[in-house]
Amino acid sequence: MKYRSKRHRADAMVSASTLAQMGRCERLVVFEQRQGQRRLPHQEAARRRGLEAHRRFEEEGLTARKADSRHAGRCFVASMLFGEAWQTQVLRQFRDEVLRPGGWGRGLVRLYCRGAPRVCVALERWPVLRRPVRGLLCVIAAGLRLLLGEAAPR
Amino acid sequence: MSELLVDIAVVAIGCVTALGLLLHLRRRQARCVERRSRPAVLRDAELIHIEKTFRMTRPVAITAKLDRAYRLPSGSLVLVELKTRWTGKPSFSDVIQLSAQRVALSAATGQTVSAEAFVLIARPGVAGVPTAHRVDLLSTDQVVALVWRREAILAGRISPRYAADASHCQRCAFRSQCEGADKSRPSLADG
Repeated sequence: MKYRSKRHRADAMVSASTLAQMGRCERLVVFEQRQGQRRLPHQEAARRRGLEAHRRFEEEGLTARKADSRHAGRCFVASMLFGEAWQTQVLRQFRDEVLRPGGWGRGLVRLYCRGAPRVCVALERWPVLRRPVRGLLCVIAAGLRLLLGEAAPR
Repeated sequence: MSELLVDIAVVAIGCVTALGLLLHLRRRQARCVERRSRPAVLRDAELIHIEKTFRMTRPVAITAKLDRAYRLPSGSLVLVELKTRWTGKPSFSDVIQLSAQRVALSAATGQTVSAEAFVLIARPGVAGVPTAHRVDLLSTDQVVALVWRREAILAGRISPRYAADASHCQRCAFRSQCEGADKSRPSLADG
């Protein structure tokens, strides 16, 4: 019974690309549901080209993101401690809007980018440090939220 | 003997340096290509999701694998979808796909996802940067209604409509079975 309900749930799940067929032709949706996907030779060739282009696109994106994280920097410590919480967003906003426009700010961001991964390693190794660092960052983020005013994320 | 060791060490260092340089250049090139393919709005955005699947179960069950999602400095996310085709404009099915991705991503992460997205269209076999087209996405209610409509069609409660564009019929593998493929049809975009 349990298996059947799980299977039913999986069947009910519709993918974004399947749903997109509705914008093309609703009759095609019915045919594909009843008889399975069927492609003409040129459609199959186009599908293969698309998959290949997507593979390249993904590779480029992954490489670019790796390079970006080295150059642009990220909220390493905040992301590690808070995840995608408002504290991370406030700190990120402070970095992008206040620090990045100025030369000294960019220097600080660079300095942070160099040091932060080591701080993350230390926090991984000694979890006891997490709580005080988390508390400290929380106070700083709350202060920055007041400073940034209306524009700060809630 | 020691000279031989020195030679080996020099060659090894040279190989490692060349390899490092090659990797660096490759990364830099990929970064440049990725930057060039970005629309102007996403210049300062951070690429955060690549080929990642998100799911939602309520009010309807949707799974969506998105090509790319960028985070703007404002914190909201923007979706980008790559398409390989000859026609250089986005279609209504692209809008539906991106809208479903938006709904699933928003439900799965709780983050704000922008109502505008981009379709990157690459011409098959043509090298170069794909062209970015901005599209306005459907609302969550519209996506949910579309999922329900699909369910109703598959259950036989509603009769399915023909393709809005007759050219789709000419390229359709089910054309021979579709009794009304040559008839005039109301547009899908009308309803």
